[in-house]
Amino acid sequence: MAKPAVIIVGADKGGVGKTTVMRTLLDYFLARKVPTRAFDTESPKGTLKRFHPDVTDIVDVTKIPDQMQIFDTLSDNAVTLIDVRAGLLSPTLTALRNIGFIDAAKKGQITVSIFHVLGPSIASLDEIVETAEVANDVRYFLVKNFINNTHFFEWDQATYNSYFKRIKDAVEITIPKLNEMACEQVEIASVPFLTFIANKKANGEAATYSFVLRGYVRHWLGHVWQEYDRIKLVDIVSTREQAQAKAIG
Amino acid sequence: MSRPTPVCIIASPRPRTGRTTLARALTEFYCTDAGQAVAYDLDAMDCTLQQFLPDCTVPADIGATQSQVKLFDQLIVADETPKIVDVSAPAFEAFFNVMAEIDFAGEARRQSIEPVILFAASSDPLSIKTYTRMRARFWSIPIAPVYNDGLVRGHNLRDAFPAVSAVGLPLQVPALSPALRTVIDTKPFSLADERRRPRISELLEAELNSWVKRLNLQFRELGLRMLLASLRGSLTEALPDPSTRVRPPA
Repeated sequence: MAKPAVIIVGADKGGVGKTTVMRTLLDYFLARKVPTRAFDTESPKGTLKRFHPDVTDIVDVTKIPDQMQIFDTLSDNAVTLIDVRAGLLSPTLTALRNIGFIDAAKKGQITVSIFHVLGPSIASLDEIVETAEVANDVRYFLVKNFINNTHFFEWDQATYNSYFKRIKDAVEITIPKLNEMACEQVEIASVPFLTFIANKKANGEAATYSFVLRGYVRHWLGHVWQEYDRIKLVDIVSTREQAQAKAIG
Repeated sequence: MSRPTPVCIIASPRPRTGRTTLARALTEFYCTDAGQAVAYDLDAMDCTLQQFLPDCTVPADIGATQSQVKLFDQLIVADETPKIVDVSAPAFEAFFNVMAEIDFAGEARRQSIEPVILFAASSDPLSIKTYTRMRARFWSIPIAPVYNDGLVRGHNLRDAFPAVSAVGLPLQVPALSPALRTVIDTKPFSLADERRRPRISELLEAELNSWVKRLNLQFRELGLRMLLASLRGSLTEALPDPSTRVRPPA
């Protein structure tokens, strides 16, 4: 990775599954041995840190020292994932623009991607408009998350398309639904999805998770990763040279 | 080396194909031959298998996740106890959907479980189409078609339900006389244990013994084919690749 890569996962509404999407991204990169660090902005608690304590720091993205901790330490060798707390996506993007971060992305000095997790309401579509101004200068992904049994019932497809088209090159990602009981058991286990599938506890010891529930999680995670493969996520965070080398190899 | 655990799934997308009778015969065969067996009855309406073999049959359900966990978490335990699953026609799609989604076949390979699907064949188009689809969907599990002479007499099912692996050779269930059919379908009735069935005429007794013997012979052959396939698999894993084997100098 010749330039730092940052992925921001956020939504202006709570309960749409941002942290779940973040966890699938962390598992995706860690499984591919891509060095990854994560920041959980749900200060002081931090749900993400419960699942990935080794790579996660809890920060308050509205405070300058914490902004420095994230952005002044961007590394050429690691992907930085930021789980933005509900309601803070638009302010965070504005702050990033103010500190020249978005400009740096525009000039190609860093790679910035936004995973905007959408809820089922029309309010979610309004969020697109709010973020559209900044989003045109970065890679923008609209994530329809069905994991918590969301039915995008309020959306008329034509209305959605009119919002969707406001962002140039926006790409849609669909996260399928995960069986409720499987989802609940991973929550209780407080381990990454991959660790649950491997039937391990957080400390690496063998666990006794249900084979059926592990199977459901494996199947679901496979579909999520297929989506990430479809958008060539690894290529997004690797250099053009690395991508070319991979294509040749 | 521990023995692989057989898991025999008896299924048909159509009712009244002799599926439960086969499940009864197979369960009783294993109870006699291996000393123990556990059968799972997925017929939520009638629980016929459980009524005939209450001591070794567990009622099962595939609808709720909790029931799926209860069933498949038992089927994947390599405890050398033969397991028989009687998949009723209404549960057919749900059962195999779950089985595919959780990758039962892949985990079975890792856990020394030997699954086999016994597909009760019938001449209707749905069964034929489903059999073809199952072969593609569960390519790594042997699927043995079961030709029930009592139901499909006059139909040549060998072309529609071909055997595709050495393990999954067809099973032939001999036809029963109507009198014996009525007797064995009246609860309680044990196919293997004379003490757990009413007295029947010598003629019917002889017919029943012959019928059971012919089935048991096929079950034993199926068990041997499964064991052989399992041994062959472990030998292939244990032996070095012939291309990398060091040869003695000429």
